[in-house]
Amino acid sequence: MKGLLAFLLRATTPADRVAVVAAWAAVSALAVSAWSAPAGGEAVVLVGDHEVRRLNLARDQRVTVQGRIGPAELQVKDGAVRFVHSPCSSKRCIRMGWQHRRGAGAACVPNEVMVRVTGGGSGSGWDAVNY
Amino acid sequence: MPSTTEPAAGRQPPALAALRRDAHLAWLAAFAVALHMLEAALPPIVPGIKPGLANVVSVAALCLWGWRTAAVVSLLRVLVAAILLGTLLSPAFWLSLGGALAALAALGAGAALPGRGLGPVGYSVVAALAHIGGQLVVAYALFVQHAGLFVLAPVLGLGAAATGTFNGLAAYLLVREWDTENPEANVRPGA
Repeated sequence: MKGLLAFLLRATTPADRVAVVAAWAAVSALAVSAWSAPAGGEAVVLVGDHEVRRLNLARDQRVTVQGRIGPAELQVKDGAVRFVHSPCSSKRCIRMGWQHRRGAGAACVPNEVMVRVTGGGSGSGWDAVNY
Repeated sequence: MPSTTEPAAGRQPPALAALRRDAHLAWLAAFAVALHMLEAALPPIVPGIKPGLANVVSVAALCLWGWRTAAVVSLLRVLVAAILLGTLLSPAFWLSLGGALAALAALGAGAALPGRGLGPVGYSVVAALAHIGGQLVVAYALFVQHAGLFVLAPVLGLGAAATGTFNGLAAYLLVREWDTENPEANVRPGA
């Protein structure tokens, strides 16, 4: 351990040490700021192309919105949102389940109700990353 | 690295000195190309992060013979490795070139520092960070016009800091070895 330290001191000039510390500080700050994104996301609820509600995902709640064919109930819990009741026949909107990623959403086409997670949600919103 | 430096510099005709310098360049470039190829053959442990071993050669070249040598070695390496890998003028080539140019710019700026200035470790770290910075800019400008690209920046930055530090120590050992083997041959700038 002592030998390693001596080697590191011999291998670096004072300016080197400043450069190395500054580089690590800069990338660490970048990583911390990028990965500690605010959790309190938001979701917008649309009926047709009109925004009818904005839901704070940090607050657990249930809301009912009036769609084209009837009322739909949405639930917010643990930073995620889902459909719980819908007057549509297929219930696909309910089966889409919890949505929490930024950019993700669930839609009920017959009822023209859509919920979409906007800024802040957890995750990057990518389906896949390829190099 | 084989010795191409007998006898001592300064006591030989200019033509011989020029030949010697060319031999240095050729050896360094060949060494850098070999490391580049080796790296291309390695499986990516973490996607997007490569050890950047060829930069060891550029940094050592800068410390031993100055920025122009480092620039020639680095650009030759990018060109020759691209020809050998068959990636010439492909996205990989432009990313490689963008990274190399940014790294060279950072090395030039680092070499211009007054006083004792940077050694291999400092050069390597600033070059590594400039390298990924250059690559991100090229990737954004030419291939992926989406701000989401910069989500990668922290990962690549941490990778660059780690590989830059490690490679800097490797470059230090290379420079030290060269200096001990050729005590009279070095014409280190600012040393």
